[in-house]
Amino acid sequence: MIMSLRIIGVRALAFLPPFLLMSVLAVPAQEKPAAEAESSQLEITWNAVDGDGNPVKNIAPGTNCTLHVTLHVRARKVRISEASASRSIVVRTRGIRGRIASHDWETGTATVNLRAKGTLQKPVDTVTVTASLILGEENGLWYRAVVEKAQLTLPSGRSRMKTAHLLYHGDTGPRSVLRVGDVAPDFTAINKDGKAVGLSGFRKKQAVVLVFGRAHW
Amino acid sequence: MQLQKSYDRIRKLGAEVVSIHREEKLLEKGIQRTIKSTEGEFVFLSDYKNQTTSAYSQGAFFTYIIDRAGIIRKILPGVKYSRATAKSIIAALETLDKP
Repeated sequence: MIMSLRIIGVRALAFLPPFLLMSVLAVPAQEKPAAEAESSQLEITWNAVDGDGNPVKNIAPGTNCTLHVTLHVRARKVRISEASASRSIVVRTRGIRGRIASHDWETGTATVNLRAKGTLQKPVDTVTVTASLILGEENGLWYRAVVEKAQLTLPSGRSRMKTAHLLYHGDTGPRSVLRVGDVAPDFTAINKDGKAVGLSGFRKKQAVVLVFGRAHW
Repeated sequence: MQLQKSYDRIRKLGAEVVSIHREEKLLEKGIQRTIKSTEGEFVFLSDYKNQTTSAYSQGAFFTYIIDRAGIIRKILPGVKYSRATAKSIIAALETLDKP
């Protein structure tokens, strides 16, 4: 089912999963005209910083890079009859799919094509963008992208909504970062039995692979 | 889960996988739930709100290979949807010096 995304009460665009896009363009859905079934574009400008927050310059072409973009779309004052005026909704990023269409590591810019899986039928007033940039994997050195500017370009004919309503925040980057050769700081975390376990408890092992996960993988 | 599938191989290399979870309010109950849902056999630990592991993987999902002397030997960068693969972890472990 196709529904529309509304930004400040104005119908903006319909996000669609990529595999549905072509078919919908060919056979317009009943609810909305086909012209709205376009993807939107997000243009991002970032500054790369190292672990101490210092700007990184002269990134060599061909450097192994990963750019990761996360979007949060938030709507307030949802105008639906059963909701109060102060209710807010958060559309999770899970439904939004983005593909980095082009990027330039040296100037720190990228264009992301976005499509959402499914629907968003509430007025949206903020879109939060975070981006991470990882460089130089082989040395264990890494940098983060501080988003300087992010602009959502909506489908053609709706350019008056191009700016505004788009908030972004850049990560200031960690103040210090562990590097290869550093002593691994010990920690105390809770295991499945509720007992405190530290890194030093694994010293009998040849090595510890320390991974960080979300609560439910 | 990809890492679980390679767990035996990682164990044979003498390593233990320690998975830190930072979003679980329920601590050990949450960890038990995670173990159940992932069928993971390695060590799951909870550090809610990043209280004691803040030096590691700040705002990202890095993987650290730490040797028995407690020295960080490899850092495999990663973000939420693109983390170090089991293959890259095994490759990193294989390059560590043997005792």
